[in-house]
Amino acid sequence: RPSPKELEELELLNRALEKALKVRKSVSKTPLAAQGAAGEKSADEGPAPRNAQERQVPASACAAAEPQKIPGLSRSALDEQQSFSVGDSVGGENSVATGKRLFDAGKKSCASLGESSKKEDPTTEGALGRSTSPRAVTLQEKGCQLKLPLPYRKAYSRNSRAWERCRLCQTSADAAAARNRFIERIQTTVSFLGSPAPSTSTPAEIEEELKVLQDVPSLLSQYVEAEPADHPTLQREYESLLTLEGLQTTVSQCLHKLQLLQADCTGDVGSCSPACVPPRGQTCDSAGMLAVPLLCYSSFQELRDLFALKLQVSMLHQEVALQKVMMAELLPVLESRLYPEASAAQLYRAIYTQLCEGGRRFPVLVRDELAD
Amino acid sequence: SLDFWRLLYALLKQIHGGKWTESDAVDNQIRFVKSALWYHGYGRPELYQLPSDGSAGSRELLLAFSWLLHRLSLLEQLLARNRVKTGDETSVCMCEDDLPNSQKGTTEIAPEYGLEDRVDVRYLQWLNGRLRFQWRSLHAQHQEQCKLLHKIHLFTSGSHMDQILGHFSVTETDLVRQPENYKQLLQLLESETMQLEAFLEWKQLEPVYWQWMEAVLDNMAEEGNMSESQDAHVEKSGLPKENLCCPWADSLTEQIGRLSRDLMTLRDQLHKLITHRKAVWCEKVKTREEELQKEWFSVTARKIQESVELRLLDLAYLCAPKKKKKHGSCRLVFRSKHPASQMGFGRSVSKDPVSAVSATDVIRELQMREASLERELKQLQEECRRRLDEIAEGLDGVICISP
Repeated sequence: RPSPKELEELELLNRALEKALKVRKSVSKTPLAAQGAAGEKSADEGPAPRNAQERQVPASACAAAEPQKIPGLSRSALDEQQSFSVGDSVGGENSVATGKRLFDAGKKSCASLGESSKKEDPTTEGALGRSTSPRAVTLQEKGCQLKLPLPYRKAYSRNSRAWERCRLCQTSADAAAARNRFIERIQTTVSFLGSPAPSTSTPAEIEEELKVLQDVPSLLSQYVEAEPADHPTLQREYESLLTLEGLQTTVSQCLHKLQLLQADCTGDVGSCSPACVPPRGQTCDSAGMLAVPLLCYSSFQELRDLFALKLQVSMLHQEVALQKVMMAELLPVLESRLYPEASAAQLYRAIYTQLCEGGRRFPVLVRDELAD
Repeated sequence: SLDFWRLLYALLKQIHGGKWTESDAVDNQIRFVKSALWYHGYGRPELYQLPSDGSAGSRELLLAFSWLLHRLSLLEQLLARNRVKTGDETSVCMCEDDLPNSQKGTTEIAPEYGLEDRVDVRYLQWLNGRLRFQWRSLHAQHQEQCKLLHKIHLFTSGSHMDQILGHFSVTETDLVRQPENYKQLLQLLESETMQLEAFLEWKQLEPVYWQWMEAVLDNMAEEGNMSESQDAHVEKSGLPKENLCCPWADSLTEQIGRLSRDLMTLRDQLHKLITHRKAVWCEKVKTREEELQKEWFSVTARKIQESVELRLLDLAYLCAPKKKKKHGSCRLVFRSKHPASQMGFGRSVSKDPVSAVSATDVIRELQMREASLERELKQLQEECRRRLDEIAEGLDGVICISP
C-alpha cells in the first residue's frame, strides 16, 4: 500500500533532513572560483567578520550570514522542494500509519522550505558578490550553541505556560458537586450502560478490554513454551509446576472475562442498535491528557528498533487481512474446480505458495507416475 | 437544534478519527452522533428517538452535550488532540491500524467463478512481490530518517530553552536557519495559547454551568416528562428490535470467538501438560521422601511460591487493561542514559508535567503485538495447508511436497 509517490516523497524528505543538518556549509570551491577577483579582496576581510559573527549569539546573525555562504546549497534545496507537493498528496487512505506520522513531521518542515522558494531572498544575490570566505561549520560543531529566534521563544514559552496552567487547573468543588449531581440524576433515571458494575459495559469499554486481551493468548503460550520439559533439581520441577498451574488459572480467568464481554456485547445491542457504527474512538485516560506528550528514547538503536517494529506490526496487520481475503477468494476456486484442467498443477502450486508460505517458498509438485 | 446536531457531529468526529465533510447529509450526521453516543454508553431513549431532520430536541441535545463534557472530558481531549506540533512526532499506539468495524470486504466479493472473469494468478504473485518490495523500501527510508533525526537531536542537545526537551526538533532546527518561513507556526502557537486561556475562563465559570444543567433537569421533572418507570419500560420494548443484526456486535463476536478458541486450545494443552508433570513429580517425590521431611524444603517451597506469584503478577498486569494507555502522537525526545547528563531520564526530573512514554515500553508492547499477529498469521496458514492438502487428494496424478 505505500505508493511509489510516497517513497519518492520520503526520499525527498530524507534529503531535506540531511541539508537541515548543515547550518553553514563550506562551499569554498564554488563561490570563490566564480568570483575570481572579488575573492581576492574579501579574503583579507574574511577572518575579521567571521570572528565577529562567531561571537554573535543570536540566530539572526546566522540567518543573515548564511545566504552568502551557501547560495548554491539553499538554491538546490529549494529547487527540490518545488516538486514536492505540499498539499494533501499523501491521501487519506494512507494505511501506513507509521509512515504518515513520521511523514507529517517532515512535511511541515518541508512545507516551510517550499514556502520560501516563492520569495527569492534579494540579499542572496547581492551577498554573492561580497561573499567572504566561508568556513565549514556543521550542526555538529555549533549545534549545542544554537538559539531559537526570539519571537518563537516568546510564543513557545507563553504557550507552554498556558498548557501548564490548564493542566494544573482543578475543577472547583462547587462545580464538581453540581456536575456529579447532574450526572447521577441523568444516569440513574434511565438505562445507562457503563461501569461500575452491575451495569454492563459500554461498547467503548468492551472494545477497550478486547484490545488488551487480544495479545494474551500469544503471551501466555510464550510463557508455557518457556517452561522446559525436564528439570535438574526438585526445586526447579516444583517451580515449573507452580508456574504452569498459575498460567492455567490465568487462562481460565481470561476465558471467563471473554464470556462476560460476549454477554455485554449482545446486551448492548438489545438496548439500542445504531444504524452505523463509528470507527473506533480512542478512549484516553483523562488524568494526563493535558501534559506534554513525549516519547523518550535513550539510544540510536532504540529509535531504529522502534520504527522498525512499528512498520513490522503494520505490515503483519496487512498480511493477516490479505490472508483472510485471499483465503476467501482463492480456496473456493480450487475447491470448485472451475479452472482449466491443464493449468491445475500450476494453479495449485501458486495458490499454495501464496496462502501457506506467504508467497516466499514453493512446494514441489511431483507427478505421480506410479499410480498407473 | 440543527446547529446543535452539527456541533456535536463536528466534535465527535474529531474524536472518532473520521474525516468529516461538511457536505455530509443531515440525517447521516445525526445518525453518526446517535451511534457515537450509543458507543459511549449514553442511555436516554428520548435522544435516540429524535427526528432525523434535526428539527427538534435542543434540550435533549443539551443534556447529551453536558454528559459528553464530563464523560469524555471532551474539552481536554479536543485540546490534546489538536495540539500544535513543534516536534518530531510519532504515534505511540497502533490504533489506526485497526480496520473499520464495517468490514464490507469479504461479503461484497461474491464468489462467481464464471470463466469470463479470470485473472491470472501470476498477476497476483507479481502484485505481492511489489508489495513486499514497497515495504522494504519504506523500511530503508525509515531507518535513514532515524539516522538523520538522531543526529539532529544529538547535535542540538543543550540548545533548547525548554530543559525538558533539551534539544531541537527538525522543525526547530530549520526555524533557526529560516525563521521567516515559520510565521504560520507562530500564529498557530499564539492562537492555541488564546484557546487555552479560554479554557481557563471556562473552568472559572463551570459551577454556573452545572447548576444551570441541574435547573434544566428540574424543569423537565416538573413538566412530567420523567415518569421513569413507565417510560423506561415502554422505551425498552419500543426501541427498534429489528436491528438484531448489528455489524459491530458481529465483528466483536468473531474476535471474541477467535480468542476463546485460542485460549481453550491452550487450556487443554496446559491440562495435559500439568497432568503429565504432576505424575512425574509424584514419581520423583516417592524416591526422596526423607529429603522432603527436612525443614529446608518447606522454607524453599514457600520462597518458590512467592517468586512464582511475583512472576505471574507481572503477567497479570499485562493481561489487565491499563488505565494509562497513551494514544495519539508524541514528540520524540532523546534522553541518553549517560550518567553525566544532568537530566537523567524521566523519573529523576523533578517536574511532573510530562507524561513521558519510554521507547522501551512501547517496544515491549509492540513486540507483544508482533508475536500475536505472527501467531494469528501462522494459524491461518495452517488452516490453508489443511484445506489444500484435502484439495491435493482430489488432484489426479500429482503429489505435493511442502517446502
